[in-house]
Amino acid sequence: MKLLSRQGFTLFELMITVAVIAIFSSIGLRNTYTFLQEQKLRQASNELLSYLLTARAKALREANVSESGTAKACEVMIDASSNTISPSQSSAANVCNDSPSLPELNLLAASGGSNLTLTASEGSSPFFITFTRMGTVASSNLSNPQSVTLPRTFYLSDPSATQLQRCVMVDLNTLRIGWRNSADEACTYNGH
Amino acid sequence: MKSFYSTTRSSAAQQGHTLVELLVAISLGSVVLAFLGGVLLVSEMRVSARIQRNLDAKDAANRAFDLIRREANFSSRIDYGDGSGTDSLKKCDNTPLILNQNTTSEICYKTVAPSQLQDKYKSAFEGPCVLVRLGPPYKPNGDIDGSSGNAPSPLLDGVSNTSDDCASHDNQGFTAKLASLKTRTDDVLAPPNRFANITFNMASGKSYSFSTRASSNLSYDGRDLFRNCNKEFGLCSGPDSAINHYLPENDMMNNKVPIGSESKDNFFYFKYPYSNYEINTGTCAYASCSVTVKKRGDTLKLERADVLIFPDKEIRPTR
Repeated sequence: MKLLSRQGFTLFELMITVAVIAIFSSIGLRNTYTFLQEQKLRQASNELLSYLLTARAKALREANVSESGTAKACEVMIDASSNTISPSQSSAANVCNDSPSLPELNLLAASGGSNLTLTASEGSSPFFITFTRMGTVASSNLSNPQSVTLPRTFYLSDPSATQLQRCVMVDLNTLRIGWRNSADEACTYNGH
Repeated sequence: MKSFYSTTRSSAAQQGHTLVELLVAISLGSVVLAFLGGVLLVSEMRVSARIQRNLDAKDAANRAFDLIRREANFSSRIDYGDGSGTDSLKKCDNTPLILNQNTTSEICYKTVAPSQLQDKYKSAFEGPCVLVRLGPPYKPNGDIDGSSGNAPSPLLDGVSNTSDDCASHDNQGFTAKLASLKTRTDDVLAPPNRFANITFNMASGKSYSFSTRASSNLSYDGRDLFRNCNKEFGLCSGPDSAINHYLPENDMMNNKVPIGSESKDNFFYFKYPYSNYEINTGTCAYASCSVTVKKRGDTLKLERADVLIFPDKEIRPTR
């Protein structure tokens, strides 16, 4: 066998190959990382929406007459500092505290993310949402009679990639979920 | 002696491929496979996105239906506006469906173009038309807040447009056909509409229809049917002088026992759905009928009750 065919690759060729592989994998890894972040945000916002739908269903099903003769409602509290959503404890008329009460949900744990920032279109944490026996979102809350401007939009983002934001819109009878455009900060929602 | 290897590798045709050839072949193969996989993946994603969009649209339509149906059930009569209001998001003129809650509040539904929506909604709706509820907001106890003005709330996106303007009365994207319960011959008032057949025609080509009716329960402000009625009444005379209408909730509070008239039919109206009350059928007869409010525990004994009317049920005690 000729000696030439056993020479293998030069160091230069190897370096070029390694460099090319490095460039391609860095692009791939970056995309994968963004995709994973997107998935976690998507998961966190889906969990939030699903919790609100459950609270709404509970209000529709159970918020009728109470011991005092007045109709109940379901009030949930979103705490941005702990990324949790739970029935608020402050009112006896909160049907979501009635057994079986809605359990507290940690959005960060449920989405498998490492960090989450939750803000709203107005107000500061904790945020309250009250679902009436009609399945509608009330314009004031059980625990706080101050009026609430509808629609309210909640924004979920990962602090390490703030250009990615999910929107959860809560209106009188509409709950919608979508992505926020980082350029004009408007939300576009899925489907109709 | 020839070795085994030298025998088998004697000709060039049996030498196989070089590493470079193999690498090129693998690279080409991967490119082709990646392309095919990508095409399949994209088409699969498109299909699942379309299915999801359809499901979302159906869900949104159902939710809009549910609200209209519930609000109609709690209203006294159903109406429409045939005016030609220009400020389509403030007044209930020119709307196919108005639900009169009582003498002071009304809720109406209409379609508008997304560009007519308030800024806070504009980016969230695509059109061509959006179904909007125009009415007072809700208090936490589930009553509408009549003291607040009418605010527009978009309910459903993607409603079709069959006229030049979504807000036009001719738009068939959202229609309501009304019908009255019966013609009242013994009252000067026109018979109010209590039934509506409602249709949403979506831009996607799908169409959803349902029917609903206004309440005939006095507790839900169905008082326009009756004369001499005001908010505090316990007894209210209706258009038919042979019937007495009672709202026993007021009497329950005062521990009174309402006793119906012997010479008339006595109708008793209850505020909450039937599941909130306990009525032992053995103890509910014309002569005496016990009704207990489950969560409060107070019991009402009715005498000479011909009909007990709940929002979702009617009971006729045995005579």
